[in-house]
Amino acid sequence: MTTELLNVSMPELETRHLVKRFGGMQAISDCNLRIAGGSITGLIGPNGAGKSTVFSMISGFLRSDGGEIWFKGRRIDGLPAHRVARLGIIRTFQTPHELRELSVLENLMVVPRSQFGESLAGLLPFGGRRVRKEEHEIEERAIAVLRTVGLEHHAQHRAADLSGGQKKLLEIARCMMCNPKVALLDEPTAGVNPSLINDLMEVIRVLHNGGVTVVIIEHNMNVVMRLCGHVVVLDRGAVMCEGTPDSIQRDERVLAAYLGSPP
Amino acid sequence: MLELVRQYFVSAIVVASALAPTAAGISLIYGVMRYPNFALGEFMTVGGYLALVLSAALGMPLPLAALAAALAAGVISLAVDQTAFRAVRRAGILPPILLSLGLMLILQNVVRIIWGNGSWQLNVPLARPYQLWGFSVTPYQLISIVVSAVTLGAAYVVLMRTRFGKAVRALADNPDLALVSGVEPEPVYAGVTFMAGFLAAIGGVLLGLQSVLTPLMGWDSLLPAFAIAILGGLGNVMGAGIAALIIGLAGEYSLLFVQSSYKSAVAFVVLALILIVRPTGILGERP
Amino acid sequence: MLDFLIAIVTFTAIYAMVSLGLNLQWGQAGLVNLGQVAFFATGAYTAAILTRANVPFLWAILAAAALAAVLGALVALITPHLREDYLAIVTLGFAELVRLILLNEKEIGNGPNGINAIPQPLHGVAGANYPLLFALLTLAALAAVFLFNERLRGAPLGRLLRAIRDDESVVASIGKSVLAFKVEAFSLGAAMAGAAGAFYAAYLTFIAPEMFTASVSIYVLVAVLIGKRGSNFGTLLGAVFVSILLEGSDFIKDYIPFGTGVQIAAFRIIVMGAVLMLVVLARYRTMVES
Repeated sequence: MTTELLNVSMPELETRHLVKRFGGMQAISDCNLRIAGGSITGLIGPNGAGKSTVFSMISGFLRSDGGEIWFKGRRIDGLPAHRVARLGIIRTFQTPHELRELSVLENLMVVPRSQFGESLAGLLPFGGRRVRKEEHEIEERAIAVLRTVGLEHHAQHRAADLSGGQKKLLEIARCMMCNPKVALLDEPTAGVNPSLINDLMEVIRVLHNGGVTVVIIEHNMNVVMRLCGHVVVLDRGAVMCEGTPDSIQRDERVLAAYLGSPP
Repeated sequence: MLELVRQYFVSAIVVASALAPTAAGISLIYGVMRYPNFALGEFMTVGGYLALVLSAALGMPLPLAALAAALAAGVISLAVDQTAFRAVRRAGILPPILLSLGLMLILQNVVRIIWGNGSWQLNVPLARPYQLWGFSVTPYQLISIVVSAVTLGAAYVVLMRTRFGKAVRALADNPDLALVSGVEPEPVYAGVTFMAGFLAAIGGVLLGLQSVLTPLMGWDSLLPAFAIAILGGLGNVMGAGIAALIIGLAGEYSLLFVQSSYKSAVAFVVLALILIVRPTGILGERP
Repeated sequence: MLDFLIAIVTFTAIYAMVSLGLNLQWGQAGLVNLGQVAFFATGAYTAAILTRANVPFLWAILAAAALAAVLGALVALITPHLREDYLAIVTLGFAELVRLILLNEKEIGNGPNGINAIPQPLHGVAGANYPLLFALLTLAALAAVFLFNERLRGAPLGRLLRAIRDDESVVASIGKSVLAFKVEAFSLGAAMAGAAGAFYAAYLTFIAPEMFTASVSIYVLVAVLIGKRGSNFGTLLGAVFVSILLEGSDFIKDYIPFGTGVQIAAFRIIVMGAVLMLVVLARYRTMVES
């Protein structure tokens, strides 16, 4: 009984007093995030508030200068990026990082871990059959994910040739392909054609309905209001306030900081 | 032992005096145009041999020959930049690196075709070493130190006091900002490549003055010069001067522990340590 | 004429193995390596020392490849976060360090004098046709290396290496250790150069540090570049070009009325440098990194 209560109250992902300095500038100071398991949390704030920096530190791409990061009762700050990803925390990139020379399909097929075909043993003559079978399974899954995001017709295209919006979709597709526990989506709708935004939100819902905790950095308040159950406002590297989308929208400090104009 | 330590101090400064101008050239190109130019060592060689021809064959006084050789090396450097390197300006860092490797092979072997594999001596009269504050220094070592310091000082003044120098520093510090503030990059690049060729050639003449000219003198100086350029901070001429002393001292004092033929290896180890431990450089230049 | 052809084929096969190793590192995984000669030299010295101690050639090849691979892994392990340009400087310097060690540590291979009287495999068997036999052995080794590279290129492993070349942060973000794969690619490429070194030592029966200068690293770079980085077949063609240019002129110098040996040797290196510059100028658009 008590453990259940504890589980409810303990966030799945948490940052405690996180600090990051760039040169003399304090980019993140005493940032405390609490992300509940199974939620869609919006991370908003003005440009330069440190949202992406927080993502980079959680995902192990950037070392923090102080504070702690906890995931499911385990301290994860200091782990290299690939170790964090192996725990199920998968980030996307604000500017799409597609694998340019690979096809869209291959962009997803590189994702599954411990592929036999990626080992040296897979190159040996008798490994061929096993690799083909494995490739077939991975390809099926990749196609299914591409179908979810609506990129299946581009499967064989070079990723570099996709449009900006399609590259954003590919970012999310890659995240889905990872079977994440937590998805850190960095501005998934930025630069996306407005007609595609609804589809994109649908994709994020699909991801969430699969049991994934979603944290999303987003500038489009419309998206935030419709998607997120919880919103955290970051300002100058610290949490300014948090709450439901409605309460945040009415908060005067948020209006002042976010819209840059006094209420 | 103490005597040895003292004498190493002198030779460290002398070695540094020949390496510093080349390192400054590497540093300028690396800092402004953002690529390591592996051919600059060969501009030392070319400079040294041109000075030899101008002084020995054409009878010019050596100082004049050295100046003419350095100007010629600067012009060659500029010409290659305009005909080859200019085409790949926006192509990332790899193409200019590869071009500089090709140029390195060409220059080194042109020297070999003309002068052969043997070593040559700049024709200067033999001179007895002075005793200076208890150090034993030959006049040529003194000349080398003075010329190197004057050359670096002149380069420093050019960079700090002229409009060209201001543009160079702007491009080295923040190219985006420099470009939007209206700095025309191409003339700056041209000036920098000329300067780099000129500086390296001076270094080559000084090296020739200290010992002999060989086709491999530039290659043998390349890694130490790179170590100096990176230690001193890319684009930082005075930094190169100071770093040259550090690398020179490290190389000379390593002789207490290893054979002399490992001198350039010592510089490389220092360089590799800098790069691996502080990939952004030491004296805090751009990432 | 036939002797000449056999010699060219042997040299080509040896250079091709070294170049294919570089193509695996640089062409596939995007790892700049200007010090491939270090692994070539390591292989040559290892094999020379072992075969002189009566170790069978086959074991000597394996040992040469293994030691080169270990050295390659070491380089990859200490340089994982280096930018392309710094990696270029460090690998170039590393090869020079290896050469200086071979030159100075006389216990390894007699310093500048090098190692001579290196035994050749199966020497008594073919009599006067021995060069042909050796060429065939070398070609067989080349075929193995080539097939391995082709298989890797088509395999998921090749796909992953190209992913690292395109963007290693993506590979980290999906939970794969970039370092582990870099080490793997680098040491495999080094092993190929090491094996080639074993053949080189046995073919020439004499090796010395002066044979393993930075120029060799640049020659194989030219071979990979000519063949379009990443293509194994292209690398093969590149290696043919490079070895004809380098070794072909040795065989015709008796017929050239002008120039000393030094001048002809220097001239062909000038041609190599010019080819390198021209290939870069013709191809730089395909080399642009993101």
